[in-house]
Amino acid sequence: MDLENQQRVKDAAEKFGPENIVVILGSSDAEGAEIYAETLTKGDPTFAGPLAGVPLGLAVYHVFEEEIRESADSAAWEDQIGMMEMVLDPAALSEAVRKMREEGSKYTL
Amino acid sequence: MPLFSIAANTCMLKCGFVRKRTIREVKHMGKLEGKKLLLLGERDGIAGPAMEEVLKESGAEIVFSATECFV
Repeated sequence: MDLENQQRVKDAAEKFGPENIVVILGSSDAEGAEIYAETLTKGDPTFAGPLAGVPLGLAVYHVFEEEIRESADSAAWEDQIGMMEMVLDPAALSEAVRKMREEGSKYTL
Repeated sequence: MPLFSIAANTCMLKCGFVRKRTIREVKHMGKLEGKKLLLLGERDGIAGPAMEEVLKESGAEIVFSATECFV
């Protein structure tokens, strides 16, 4: 995960409180999504960025997960995401993030 | 005389009775209501602006949105 974005996440968690934050991922592959989710829950596994050793335990979801989809505007979804939903593997992406969330998140929706 | 008057919010029945209509405002209270959203998109997946577009009416505040790319 980009070091600059790690810092932005850390700053937002300090400012708003981690319990109020939901991070939504748009990753294209399950492995990448899992690493993102790990960084946002348990801390940066590469120990390279500002979230190294910082287990924020944030509520992290992939945009394809039902909890997110049900809050989305359906017309905009078809316009903006519908095509990629057919190309990517929503089930694998959702499962990868859900698994890491269950392991490391202190907060959920 | 129209059988239904929107302005008066009443419904005049054929028999002459006036029945007050209750208009229910259905507001979608999603799970994201009141939350602060951080959107981490990916160029080859779902980009940040696309997620912004679908979630802007969710009742949550979008704190920031980014699109990363792995080249």
